[in-house]
Amino acid sequence: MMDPTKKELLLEVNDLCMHYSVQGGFFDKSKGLVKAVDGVSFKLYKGSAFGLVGESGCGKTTTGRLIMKVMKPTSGSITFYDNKLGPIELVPISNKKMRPLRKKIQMVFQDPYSSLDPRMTIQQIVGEPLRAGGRGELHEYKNKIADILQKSGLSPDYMDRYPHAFSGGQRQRIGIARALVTQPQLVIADEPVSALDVSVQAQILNLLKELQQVFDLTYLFIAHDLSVIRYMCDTLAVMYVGRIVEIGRSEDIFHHPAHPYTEGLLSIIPRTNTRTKPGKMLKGAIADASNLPSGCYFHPRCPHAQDICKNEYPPLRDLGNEHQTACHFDLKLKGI
Amino acid sequence: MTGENNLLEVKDLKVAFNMRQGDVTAVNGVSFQLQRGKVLGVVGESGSGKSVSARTLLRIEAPGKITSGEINFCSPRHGEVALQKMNTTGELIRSIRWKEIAMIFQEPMTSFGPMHTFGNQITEVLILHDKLNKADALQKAIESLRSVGMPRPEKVITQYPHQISGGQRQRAMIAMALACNPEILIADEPTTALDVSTEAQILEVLAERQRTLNTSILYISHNLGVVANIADEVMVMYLGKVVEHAPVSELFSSPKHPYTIALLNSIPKIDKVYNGQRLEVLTGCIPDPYNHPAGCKFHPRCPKAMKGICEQTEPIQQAISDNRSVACHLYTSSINTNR
Repeated sequence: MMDPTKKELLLEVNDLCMHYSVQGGFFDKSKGLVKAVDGVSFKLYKGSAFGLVGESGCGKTTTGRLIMKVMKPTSGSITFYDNKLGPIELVPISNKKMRPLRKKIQMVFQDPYSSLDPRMTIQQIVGEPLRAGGRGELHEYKNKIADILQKSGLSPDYMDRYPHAFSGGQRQRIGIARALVTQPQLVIADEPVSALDVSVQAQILNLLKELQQVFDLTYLFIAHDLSVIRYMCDTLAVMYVGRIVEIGRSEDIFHHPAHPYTEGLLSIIPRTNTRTKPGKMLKGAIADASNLPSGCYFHPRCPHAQDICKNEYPPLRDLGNEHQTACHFDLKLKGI
Repeated sequence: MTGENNLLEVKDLKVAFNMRQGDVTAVNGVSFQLQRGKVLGVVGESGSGKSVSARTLLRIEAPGKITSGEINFCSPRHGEVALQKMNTTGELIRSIRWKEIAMIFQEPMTSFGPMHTFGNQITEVLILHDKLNKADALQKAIESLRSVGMPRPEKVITQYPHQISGGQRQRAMIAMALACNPEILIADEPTTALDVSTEAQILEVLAERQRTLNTSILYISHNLGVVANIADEVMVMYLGKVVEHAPVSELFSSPKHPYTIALLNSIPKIDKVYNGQRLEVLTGCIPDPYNHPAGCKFHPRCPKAMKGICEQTEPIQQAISDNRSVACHLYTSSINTNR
């Protein structure tokens, strides 16, 4: 847990939008704009872990990729507060200027099978970010690679093996070592454990937490599994069709969810101690981003929807303690 | 013996794969019974043999081979049949597949043929097994899709798999599996690739089916939460063996086998405040399939392993009460009295 009195900004995302235009025709889709990410803002503080949760298609992965500058956002700003260079606006800078910054923002991917090149040795895979970012040759980095492999829970003896020789959990450790070898300040982890077995999931989650302390890392943790987010993150944002519907500290959101969508997500998680009550189920499917409902995007699935929800999209409003929600109503006041 | 309530009985089933590097016994002496109208959950890590066991029930275990054991199925049309003796391409097993025992596969993307519409694929089973004509089959396919909560089923039957979402595809898979009203439905990780909200809806569809039509379900999953929700009984598997078998509430409230306990402890709990606390981790990983440990297969990872016992003799599955059994030396009476 970080000390709230000395919060230092690392990343500020402001009104980030990623809109795609749909050409239409071929796959029976109407022409129009798909707003994959639509006005997302949040702040990441040093040493914290920030979670992005939502169903598939809510824009959480796109948000992560925009920060990585894999693609250029339609609008909005992403400010990275470097510990030496000060604040840098990431959106307008060229790929060339981005290169030295890539060392500082790294990513851990979901699928440990497709994210490692099968024709590179572990040494080459883990050394690649160093080689790409610097001028040296691979052998000069050998000690660094061995060190990070050790810290990620792998024996450096295996450095010359290829990915196929490793299990899913070990591969994910390699992916983590690759992300951390450049000593980044920010690590974006996109569903890092959802492809793993339960027992291995726990090992990787513990490793990520441990490494966070060792290297003083900041995580942007993208996941659909709320229990994983609860374990890893101190603040989180719940996204629905490209927008943040609720944002705040983990304990506030898990104890007093303010948005009916968050409440629904929490209620349907299969628990080992109780049986889900079918009445509380989240009905329907995520709204079609190319054909959005009027008003609040969630209203067709919302159990508390009123007339106002069909007409107006609710703005994010403050509930105190940095807890914000985009809902017209106060769940607590309604006694729901 | 199978009977009024026992629809399926598996006795000491062993399935081996003949690999280049040696033989792998993926299922190593599994026994269980599936009661009519009940849900049996099967839990375990990858490589525990849960999927192979399920596939063997349909006799689609190839390239694996049944090396010993019995699978007795109480077929409504053929009476009691021994599935393990059947020719895997024979008339009899083909009439049982899908009509009496159907399966939902894990990957809805790859389990449908991409070149045929849903209508074509679902009516195929109906025309083959229920001898319906094309128009009736189409009608029944629509009904079946509607019964699993598929929106606009009339449209879906004209669509191809790539045109609908993963959740909808899995619904279509379930509709197809349930189209012939099978006695047994095998669900092999049916919700693993899906969102939590879709998962909850799919589970509700399956539970409803079990309630209304008394379908028995063999539900395979590595997600303990899901199994806790849907199953009546749970079987925990490790390296091709059943290590614990118990009614669902007892398994989750008082797990007995150290593996079950470790699995339950290693999942992050949504209702728990962690405050920097670490998850309890099951150390190590599933051993190499060609080189299983001697004695109890779990002993190298077991926090309660007893020297001189666990690495020497393999525990056998023993009843510890009327409806529970566990394969662990901690609960073996003879050893306990010796100590």
